[in-house]
Amino acid sequence: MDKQSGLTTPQSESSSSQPVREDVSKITPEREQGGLTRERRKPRISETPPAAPPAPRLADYEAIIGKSQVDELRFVATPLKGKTAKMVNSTAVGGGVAEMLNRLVPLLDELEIKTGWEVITGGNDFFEVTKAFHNALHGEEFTLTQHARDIFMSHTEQNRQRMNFDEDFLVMHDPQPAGLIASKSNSSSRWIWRCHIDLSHPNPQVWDFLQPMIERYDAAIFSSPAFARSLPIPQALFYPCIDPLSEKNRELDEGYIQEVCDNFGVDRSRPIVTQISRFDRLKDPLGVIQAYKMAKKYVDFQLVLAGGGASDDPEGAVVLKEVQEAAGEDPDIIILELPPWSALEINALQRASTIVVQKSLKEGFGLTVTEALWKSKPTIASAVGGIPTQVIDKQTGALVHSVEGCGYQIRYLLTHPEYGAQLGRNGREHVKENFLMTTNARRWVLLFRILSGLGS
Amino acid sequence: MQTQASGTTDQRAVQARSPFEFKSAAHLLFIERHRACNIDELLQALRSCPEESIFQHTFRTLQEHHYIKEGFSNDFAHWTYLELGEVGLGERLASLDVREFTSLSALRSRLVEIVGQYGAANPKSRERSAVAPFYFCSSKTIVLEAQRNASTLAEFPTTFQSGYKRSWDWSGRPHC
Repeated sequence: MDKQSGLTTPQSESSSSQPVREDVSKITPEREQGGLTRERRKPRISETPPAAPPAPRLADYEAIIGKSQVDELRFVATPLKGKTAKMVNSTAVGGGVAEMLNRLVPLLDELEIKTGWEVITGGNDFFEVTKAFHNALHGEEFTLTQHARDIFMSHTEQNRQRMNFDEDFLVMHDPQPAGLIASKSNSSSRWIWRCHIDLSHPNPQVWDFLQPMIERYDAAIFSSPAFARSLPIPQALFYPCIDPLSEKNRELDEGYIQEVCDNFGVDRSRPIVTQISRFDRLKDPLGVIQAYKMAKKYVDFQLVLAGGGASDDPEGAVVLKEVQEAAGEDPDIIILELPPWSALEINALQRASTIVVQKSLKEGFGLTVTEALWKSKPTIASAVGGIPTQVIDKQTGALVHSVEGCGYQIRYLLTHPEYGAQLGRNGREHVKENFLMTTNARRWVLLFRILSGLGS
Repeated sequence: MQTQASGTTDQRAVQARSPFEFKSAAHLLFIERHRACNIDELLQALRSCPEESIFQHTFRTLQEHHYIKEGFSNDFAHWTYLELGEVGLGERLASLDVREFTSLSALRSRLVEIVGQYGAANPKSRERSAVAPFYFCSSKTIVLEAQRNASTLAEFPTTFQSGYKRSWDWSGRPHC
């Protein structure tokens, strides 16, 4: 990786990666009398994931949040120097929790809170049960059998026997390792249950099974007040966060952004409205196209719909086809199917955009919104899931409740760029205050202090 | 102490009787059990929620949104206006200037008074449900000794500028 330009060139990759480029042949334009034409190059998209860059150090964040903020974080952590912590979850790779821990653990280590990270083990039967629990806690129908309980408990016990729990702080992430609380002793260790999932409407049987275990923890953490449960323990609120130094969010060279737009046929001399999401009905890409058509009567712009999920998900492929049909031959609707390792390309598209849209019908927290706000992009988003926590209507972005609302806001923001710029500035400040990895590290440090009686 | 040629004292070098001690504060958000879906529930919760909740949804939220130049007041006003659709109540709650209150119990009383009066005057509105509930949260505050002092006027600006951002609240007044 050429850090200067952000360009991924074959020569700069590790020796294990393969230089791959797709055929860059031009699609022969078909011109019909009086009709729109679609003339677009086949974009170059890497077929293999790039090597992960090394995790940033705390000092690297000084340029982002300021030296005084980093100094304050170190200062806040001072009473915890020499303490130990262990994070336990179900997987070391893939998924948001592992991605977050990859960043958090080194930061805590740098703050001299020696932090280990362990992954629970189990057979297919255990992970099938925990997957079923995960879906059930999200509200899916599920009958909790004695067999499922036995599998959960027996694998929990195997992990309990295998692991040590001597650290000052023991953090179990999500339901999979929750049963390890059985190892809580009379020692001074503090146990924390970090719940990353939406527990607002859990399957009662599964929750009734887990609740007695959760109540034994010293504290629980949720990502939204709506997910909290009636528990006799303190429930902290830790919003999900982005890493401003990750490939998805770091600053990019203008030349690279231009290269990406050229590659994808996006014209930077005209306004660009973008939605970055999986091709999934819950992201309502067809609704975005309808909103585009409404706004396009009044103002000229391009619509970019970029995402993945079409090649690994049969429904995704169907949705992509529907989107392509709805787009028709309109050359100003650019549909991009991107592989999961397209962080830099997504970053570039977001930075090139005039407005970012997230018109989901349902959403978790919506970190794509956080990414857009961080890049100071005027953001139009649905009032669902965690989005209203990030997009404060008319302050940090525009909240919408319908296709018509989305169309109107696109038209309004494109014709009032100063107002949009102010929303963008506010949005970035809001993310800086609440949704950055350094803020997340700070929350952990504060919670550790409070639980160990070092709260003042 | 320095003296100028004319014999007067350079005030900037005068030592204070005791130094100005800079402090900072860090806050961690906790989710409380109180929540409200309508005016009646809001009133009940305002009466019984912890004082830390009143602080969080008024003073703290103002600090957190320091970058917003206009329009933002407190979480109760924001929710009432946006989620409950009760514009009149939202306006009344938004008009509260929390800086006029030196005690949280007085602020709570005022909030209860506003909501109670509105509910009494608009009985049909009292049970109308909001689009999304109001979740009461609270802050646990940790005061941090910044270990920075200023003993003279000359030292004050330098020490102040090198201090932590959170030594200032939204209006630019230092925490002591």
